[in-house]
Amino acid sequence: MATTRFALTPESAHFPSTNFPALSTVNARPVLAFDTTTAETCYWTVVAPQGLAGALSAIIHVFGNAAGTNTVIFGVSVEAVTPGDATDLDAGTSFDTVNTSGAVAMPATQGHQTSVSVTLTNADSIAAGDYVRISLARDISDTFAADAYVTLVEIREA
Amino acid sequence: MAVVFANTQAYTRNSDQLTVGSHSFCAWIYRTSANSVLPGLFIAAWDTPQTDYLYFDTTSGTDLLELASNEANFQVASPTFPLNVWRFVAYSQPSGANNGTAWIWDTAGTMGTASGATRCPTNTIVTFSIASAATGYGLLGRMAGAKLWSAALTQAEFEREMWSLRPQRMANLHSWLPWVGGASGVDYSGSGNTWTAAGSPTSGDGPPVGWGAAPYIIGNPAAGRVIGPGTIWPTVTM
Repeated sequence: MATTRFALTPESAHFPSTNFPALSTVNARPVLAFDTTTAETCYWTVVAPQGLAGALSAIIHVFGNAAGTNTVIFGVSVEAVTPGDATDLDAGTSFDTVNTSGAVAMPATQGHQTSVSVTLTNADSIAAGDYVRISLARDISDTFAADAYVTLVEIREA
Repeated sequence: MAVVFANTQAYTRNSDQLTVGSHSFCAWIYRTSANSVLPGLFIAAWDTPQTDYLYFDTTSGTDLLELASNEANFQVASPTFPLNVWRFVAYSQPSGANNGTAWIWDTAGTMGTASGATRCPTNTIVTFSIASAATGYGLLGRMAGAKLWSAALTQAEFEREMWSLRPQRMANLHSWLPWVGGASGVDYSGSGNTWTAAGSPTSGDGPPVGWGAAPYIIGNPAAGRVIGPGTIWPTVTM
């Protein structure tokens, strides 16, 4: 049975200094508004909970501010650092290779929500107790010509 | 999300006794162009007929953060505040004739500060204006996460406020205008200090700052912890 491990909300995201999704609200719902023409990224910081051992996937809850059946694509990256690792946090980041979703059709009706699933094959050898950052970015090679509003990201353990 | 000011827009409070005593202000601000006369005021307070005033802005031409009163003014030499970048700015003005202090941070966290002989106005202040369109020198740009306290905050306190749109210090919080949901004069501090819009401020993209809430981390039921299916543990403080 799959287990939810992290629920990553828009209010708990943090951002790079440039090219980041707008933290906004739609009908009082917090959203991260990912642009259609600028590749934007945001992050969450968590601790890998005790007992974490299985394969992970990310389920991105998203709706659009336009109607249409064109597709969205998201990329999710994981940076997992165990105390004692040789990773130089002062020098840069150490995100594993990006895990990319397939092209997922947006609902034909504006405002309807869908989910985008990303298998985290590249999870940076995450282990319980690790300091973890999760990066979410929209792949602007997709075809949905409007903002994609992310309402929640679930990280699920198989 | 942020509020967009185009010189003729502002949020104003009248009949406000706040500025006769200590007060502090901070916000993320993005200048899009210089005002034709002055670079544009971020916030200003004045009495009638403007014999006493205090305003927070950038200097004309040199893009330096400035705190000015009818007594004195001073600038922060570095980092500068050029157009089209986000800066976190703050000032703290003790009551009476004590020096005010201004701070500016860029998005990399580089900080600059200066102090000078500004002082709280001695007369009762009747107008307090964010973006200050009424002066004719209003801000041309965007603002988010504006917070105003009726107390003189320290640098350490502003540093806590910088990376969270949600206030960290609740004591003496006079007004909080996050502008995440768009342009609005609603005060979210709980103090009920609603600000009146002048013109029609619009909305635009905000700064690289989060709300300041924690993500939810779910424990491991299989490890025997006393939690039910779906129980959520907010275990990280950001």
